[in-house]
Amino acid sequence: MSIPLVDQVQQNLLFQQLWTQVTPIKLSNITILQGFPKEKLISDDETNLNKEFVLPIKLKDEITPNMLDQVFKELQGVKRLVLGIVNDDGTVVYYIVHDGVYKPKKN
Amino acid sequence: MSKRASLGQVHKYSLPVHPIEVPNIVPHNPISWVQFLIAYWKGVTVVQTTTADFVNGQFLVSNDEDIKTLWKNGFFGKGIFSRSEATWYDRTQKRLGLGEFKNLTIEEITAIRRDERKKFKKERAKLEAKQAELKKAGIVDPFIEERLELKNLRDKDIDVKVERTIDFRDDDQQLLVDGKLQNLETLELFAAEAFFLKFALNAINIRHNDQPISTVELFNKLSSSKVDDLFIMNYVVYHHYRSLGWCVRSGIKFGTEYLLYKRGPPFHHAEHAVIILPNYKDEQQNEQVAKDFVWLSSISRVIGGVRKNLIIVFVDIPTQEEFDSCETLEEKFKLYKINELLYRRWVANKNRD
Repeated sequence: MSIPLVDQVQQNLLFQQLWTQVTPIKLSNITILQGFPKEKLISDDETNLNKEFVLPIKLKDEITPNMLDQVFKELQGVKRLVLGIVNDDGTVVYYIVHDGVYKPKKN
Repeated sequence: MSKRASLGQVHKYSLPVHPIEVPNIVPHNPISWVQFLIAYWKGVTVVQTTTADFVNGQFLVSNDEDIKTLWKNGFFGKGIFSRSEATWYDRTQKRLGLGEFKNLTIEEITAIRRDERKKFKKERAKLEAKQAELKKAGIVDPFIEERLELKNLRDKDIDVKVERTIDFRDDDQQLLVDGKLQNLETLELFAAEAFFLKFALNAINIRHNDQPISTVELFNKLSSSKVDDLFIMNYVVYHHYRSLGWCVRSGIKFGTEYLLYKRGPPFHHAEHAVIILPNYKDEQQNEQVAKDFVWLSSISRVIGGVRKNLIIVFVDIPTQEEFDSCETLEEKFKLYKINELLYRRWVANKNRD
């Protein structure tokens, strides 16, 4: 009955955040998710609804720049990642990580 | 009945244990004394028992009645697809155009508010573009009216639409069995919550691999036998605030351990955010785990930004020998002491009170 990490984030994206076509991708070390959000992730985005990539992790997991770099390398040309961070009360919080410097969005 | 009154009725009890109810005593009326005594002797403390499954470190409650009971009696747990109360089924019924119209869930109200905010930003961006153009041409900004309109848009009360747009995605097909929506949402309890319901209230049955698990077995699974175990510290603090009548919920959204609500999320926003640090008897150990100011400052600014108080809870850690020499869990927990510190940023030329 307990749900593995990747499935937990996938279900959350599909049924709470209402993303569509959310599917896992196996990279060499980890499994991440891809899918289309309900609305633009950042309102300043120029193009409409891009495919986004989500890295599921646990709250207490440690991530290193090297690890993120590896993901960006394997995804070739992807400019940002979403961290799907799972807490022990079932909450999934999402943070965006950009590959390099990014102009802050307007508030 | 007003909404507030009915909320008060639904959430009459702050724990799934209900005290005996006794009538008032009128000092000069002996009959009221008798009524009081009868009610007292005959009264039974009601414990509303629920069941959770403990699998791979998660505590999940899947029975609908149990989910309601835990939410109504002290706001325990969180719907895995909801912000707090398990409202996914209602929301999804509406989104898919099934079932009847019910009151808006908090998630829906937030969505409407965000939509309005987006409209405001769009209009603002348009106006700013116009202004920039004129500025280039050297003309003074003539858009006084537009700015006023924009201000109204910003301050407008939200409209609640009664009409619904149905949003049925291919991904939703899997939710339906014979045209009926399956409830995918379960309630998840965090470890301290589950352990409090079990150890302090004995109001929950916890199953592990389909077998009931005892309080001591559960404790051993959740904690190491080390005296400064993280679960023990978190639990001691959780128990402390629950005992004082606070509704304690996870603080992950603001980067803290807990949030304290006076009654519960539907009544008021949380007033206090709690972070937990150990306080050892050995000062050298304290120095090893001490946090720097940057860490404290960043948490403090986030919490200040959402208008909450930041409470640093120092848990006095007993020695390992003291801990090991205790037979029962009660004795072990009694060794820990709580010290609270309210941390607040103070700006000399602004905060004069």
